[in-house]
Parts: sequence; structure tokens; C-alpha cells
Amino acid sequence: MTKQSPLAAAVLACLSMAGPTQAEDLHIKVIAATCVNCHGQGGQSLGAVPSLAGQDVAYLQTAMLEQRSGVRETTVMRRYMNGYTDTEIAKLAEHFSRLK
Amino acid sequence: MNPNRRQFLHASVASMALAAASGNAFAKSGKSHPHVVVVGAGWGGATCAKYLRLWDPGIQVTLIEPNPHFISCPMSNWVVGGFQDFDYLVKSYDNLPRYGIQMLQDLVIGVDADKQVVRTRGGRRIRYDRLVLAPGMEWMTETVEGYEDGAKAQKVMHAFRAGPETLLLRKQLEAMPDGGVFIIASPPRPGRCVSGPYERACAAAHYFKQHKPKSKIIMLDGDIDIVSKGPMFKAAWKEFYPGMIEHRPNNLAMGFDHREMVVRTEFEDVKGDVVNIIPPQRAPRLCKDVGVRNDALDRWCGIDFVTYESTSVPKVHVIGDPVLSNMPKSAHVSNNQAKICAAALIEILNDRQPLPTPVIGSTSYSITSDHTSGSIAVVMRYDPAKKAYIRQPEGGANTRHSELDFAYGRAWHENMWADTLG
Repeated sequence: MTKQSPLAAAVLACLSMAGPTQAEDLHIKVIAATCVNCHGQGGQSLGAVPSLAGQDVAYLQTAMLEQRSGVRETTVMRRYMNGYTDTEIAKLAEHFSRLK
Repeated sequence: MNPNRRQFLHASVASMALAAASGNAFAKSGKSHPHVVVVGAGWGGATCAKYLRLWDPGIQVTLIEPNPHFISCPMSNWVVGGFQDFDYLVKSYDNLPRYGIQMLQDLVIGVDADKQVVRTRGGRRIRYDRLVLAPGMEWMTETVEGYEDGAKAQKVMHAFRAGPETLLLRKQLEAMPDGGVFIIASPPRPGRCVSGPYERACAAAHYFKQHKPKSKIIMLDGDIDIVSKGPMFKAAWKEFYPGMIEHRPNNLAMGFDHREMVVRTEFEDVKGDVVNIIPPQRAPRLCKDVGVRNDALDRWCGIDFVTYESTSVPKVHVIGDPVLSNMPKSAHVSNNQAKICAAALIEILNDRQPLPTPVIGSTSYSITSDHTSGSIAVVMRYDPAKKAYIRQPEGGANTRHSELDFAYGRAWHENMWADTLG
């Protein structure tokens, strides 16, 4: 990834969100903005933590639910997923699956 | 990327920047382009400015920061341990103006809250519709007798704001003879990065183990125990550095004699070769002057947890370490508070209601060697009835360090820097 790419992605996101109409629920947007601390701007990670952008929605939702239940082994994700509701997890999966 | 598309993007960014600049931060801002002034471009302030513009380009944002570069406190223990060069911690602010943020290198010296005007050392008077204070902390050095004289003589430092003190500490550890004693004295909660002193002990121990194996680290801890990642740190010390780190809880540093290199606590005098004392902290003087440092102890800033607006001064919001709350004082939390505050400001400035129940995440990684780390993670949800962020089940620290946490911790740093500054 070049240095410009995250900026360009962010500007695209900015342009697409211009104006008062918001494509997504503000609540989910703010929670998703927490996910990017580890998973990268626009869901594109710069390191060992997996990228989320463009992943299959069902895959993301299942992964998060399995992390919460402990079926899937994790480091911090079980602790995170226990803090979110089923609805929030479903919407977060949708959110990141839509990002390219 | 297609060149035309790239040109279009750059043109868009340039026009956003131009719009912000021509909006004139010094004039009274109209309702159509409300003006938010953010003070301090650390993890909280820079993130808040960036997300205000990302989420609502109609808002004019001015970010005021005295330092020419961002210096990362997270990862500064890597420099203390000799795993990284100091330059790795230094990041550029160059990308922020491209979001249309007007960035000023200046120091805020006062705020006229009645007139909604910020005053700077450079002679600027900047009017705001909303003010966000993200000024970090100041150190209560007066609580450790002799600290200030010792600091002037470069015989003690806190190195809890990354910068010259980080390098000074590293230099002194390098100069310390094998068999020397390194003292780390840390304050009780609440304070910045409560796991930082124990991570620092690991970083130094890793260095000593390879180069000065007879050396000792004595931790004079002002708290009752290791309150963050305690079992993980203790297991790591036993596994990697047996006998090297001595942890003495309930042992707050009260004085320091730099001629004798002796730290005085309530119970004992301890002599060291290298002395690192981290004094207790409080919201800085600016917060007191503005009137937002308003708790009974005159240390922290009470806020509304939905909007981060001060409980004592209208239209002034506070984010990051100075906030009075049960949230950890960490880079991750400052960054997340900044986003909640930005989202709330956008709703307020567009005459809508802010989110009533924000949710915040907190993660931190601490290295235990040059290839292992431990982690802590918790989600906190705001409960309007209790007027507090409530920790959700299962949150907390892991009890074992791992190489995977080390790799994820490194990714966390890279992604956090990109999110805050990129």
C-alpha cells in the first residue's frame, strides 16, 4: 500500500458521506470507528491484525459470534465481542463487508 | 489508481483545505459553517479534528498544537529497552491539513469562555462555536520533594511524555555499570497508562539480561499492587527475568536527593544508579484557568459523558487524559473519546440530538520482551441512569504474554498512527 492510499480512501469516505443524509446508523459508525484502531483505516490493516474491508458479511458475523462464544480462539476479540449486542455485531459485519 | 482519479482526489482535498483556510478562523463564524477549535494534537485532539472533517465537511476545524511533530508515548518503552530508535516515535502532522483542518503551530495561553475566544502566545484571538480541549497532563512534581532540582541536574526524569526524557533515560541505562540498580517509582491510580511502568521494567530487564545481567530493577509502587495486567507481568518476570525485578507495592516516592541518588518513600530510603520517578498527574494549568478542572481534588475535568462537554463551562469539551472518569487514561481511549465527541458535536452543530448511549472500547498492549506482549481489552457502555460508562462482562487482561499479542500490538501501533494522523 502506498502512503497515499489511506488518505485517498478516507477522502472518498468523506465525499461519500457529505451532506446531512447518512448511509448508516451513527451508532454503528462510531463503534466501527473503534474497530479501525486495530483493524486499520477503512478496515485495511497495516499489520498482523486481519483486514475487514470487503469480507463476506456472513463470514464476518459468524466470526464475531464464534469469538464471543469462545468457539474461535482469539486474543482480545472475545473480550470485545462480549461488549456488543447481536444487532450491533450484525450491523458491524454489514458495515465492513461494504468497504472496499 | 487512475491518474485522473488521483488528480480529482487531490483537487478535492485541496479545495477542502482552501475552503477551511478562506473560512478565516479569526472571523466570527456563520451558522452555516460552525467553527470548532481543538487544542492539542495528540491522540485525542488530532483524531477529533480529523473525524469532525471526515464525518461533516461543513464544519470548519482549527487544530492548535505547539509542537512541530507528533511524538508517540505508546512504544516509547521500546526506545527505553533499545528495541527501536527514537525517530520511530516521531510522526508528521503533514496529512492533517489535507482533510481541510487548519493547523496552527502555536500555544493556547487562555480562553475567554464568555466571548468564545481562544488566545495564543503568537497573539492570535480565535473565535469558536465549540472548543475541544485535549491538552494532555501535567506532572505534580511538587509532591516529590527534590524532584525539580534532580530534574534540572538531569538525575531524574519521568519519561512519561515521550521526548528528550525518553532519550535521557535510555542514555543513562546504557551508561549504568553491570550490577547497578535502576529504580522506577510510579504513582497510584488514576494516572496515564497505568501499565506503562511495569512494561518499562520489562524493557529495561530485557536489555540488562543481555548486557548487564547482574543489574537489578526496584519498583517503588505508589499503588496497592500492579493494577493492570498484574498476573501477566508477574508471570513474565518469573519466566524471563527471575530475581531481577523487585516489586515493592504501597511504597509511594515522596522525595529524591539527587546528590546521593536516594529515593525516599514513607517506609524506606532506596539508593539507585538510574532513577525514574513518575509523579502523580493532573489536568494542566490551562484547564484550571478555563474553569474546567473542577473536581474536589482540583485534578480532573468533569464532563457530560454523552457530549464530553464540561460540567462547568458551556461549549467547552474535554477529551483524553484530563477527563474525570473510570475510563483508562490511554491512547486508545483518548482516540475513541475523540470520535464520540466529534460525532456528538456534529449532531449538536446540525441541531440534532447526540447519541444518548455511546459505547467505548479500550485496548492496550504491553511488551514483556522484544518478541512478547500481553494485552487488555474492555468495552464500556454509557448507562444514562447511572451516568457512567459500565464495563461489560469478560473484559480485562490476559494472564499470559504471547508472541501473537506482540505482533497484534505492533499492528495496533501502525493502525492507530494511521487512524490519528494518516
